[in-house]
Amino acid sequence: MSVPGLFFTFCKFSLLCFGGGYMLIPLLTAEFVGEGRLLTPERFGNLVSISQLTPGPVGINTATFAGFLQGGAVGSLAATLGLVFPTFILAAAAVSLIRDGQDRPAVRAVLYGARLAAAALVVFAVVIFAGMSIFTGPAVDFFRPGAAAPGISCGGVIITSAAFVLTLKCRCRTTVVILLSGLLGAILIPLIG
Amino acid sequence: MNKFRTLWLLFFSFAKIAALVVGGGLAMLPVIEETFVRKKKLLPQEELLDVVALTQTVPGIIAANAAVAVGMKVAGLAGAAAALAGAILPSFLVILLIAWKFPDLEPGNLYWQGTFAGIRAGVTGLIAVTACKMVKKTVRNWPEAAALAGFLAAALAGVSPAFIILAGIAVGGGYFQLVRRRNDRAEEERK
Repeated sequence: MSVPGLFFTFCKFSLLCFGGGYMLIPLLTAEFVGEGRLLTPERFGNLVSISQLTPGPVGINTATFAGFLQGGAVGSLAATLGLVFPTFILAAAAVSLIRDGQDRPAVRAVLYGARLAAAALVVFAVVIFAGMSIFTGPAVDFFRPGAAAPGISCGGVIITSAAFVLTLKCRCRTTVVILLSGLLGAILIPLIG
Repeated sequence: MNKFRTLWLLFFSFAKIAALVVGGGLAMLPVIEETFVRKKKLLPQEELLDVVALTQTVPGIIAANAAVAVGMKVAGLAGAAAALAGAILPSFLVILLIAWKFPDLEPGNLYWQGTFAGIRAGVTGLIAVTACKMVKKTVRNWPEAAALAGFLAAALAGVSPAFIILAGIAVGGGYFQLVRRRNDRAEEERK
């Protein structure tokens, strides 16, 4: 992908992003991830993992990294700027022109529909990530006729459930959960897979 | 405070927030309140509510939305640019360094592989928590549940996510307007 191509691809992601950074996972997967493409699923999973450990939004981190792989430092700048350019225009316009924007029926209608679809895509992001952690292959294969079902990683199941419970019930901080997961992984994954 | 100092303050504050707040997005909002409303008194409390509403209305990265909105309110377009540059610079530099030094992201050592697999599993749990919260917030009746299930089924079947968002806006938005008109008409009839 060329440098202008990177810029416009990430512009598109930004305009479609109605539900926070995780919603970008399906969009990025569809564009960049797969055998013989820019990123293998494992590499993409590790990239998102690193984004969770380093400061800053997941979206910016993945844009910078994917841009670098495609076109070096210039590529990463193009991708990152692409991701924030539409935001700059839209948010600046919203502040100065349409003060009560979120109360208008048309805006509410768009947000209503977009948020439903965004929620579905975040659930889909869980399925994508399950294929790199709980299962040993793409979890979408369960839903595709003819594809072989992937195996299960015991360590992955334990760590995913622990992270889910710790975050939802004990309100643990993201960083703590991630570091604990890494530690558990170093012990469990070599042992029980 | 002169213009240049205000711009520097916006740039520096957002760079600090972006460099220190892991997790981004909504985790930034309390820190923004602390910095711009209470300490520097550049933003009145009620304007912060506008910022919060706006970050959730305009599509895009939440952190970038917040930076542009605060910067715009404090110092106009130049302020928005300064705040946005500050908000993206730390992540950009950190990831550029990682991408340059470790472009493979695939460690050979068994224990490092385990560590990464563990973190991926942890992230799966985190995304699942967010997914649960989002579904709980958006789904309140049967048509909404059916729409969500439909969008998810389409994604699983391999329909492009971009198309799903556009379909969501068309179908969901149309339904919203339909319900609104029907409610308006019912109200008129009651009168």
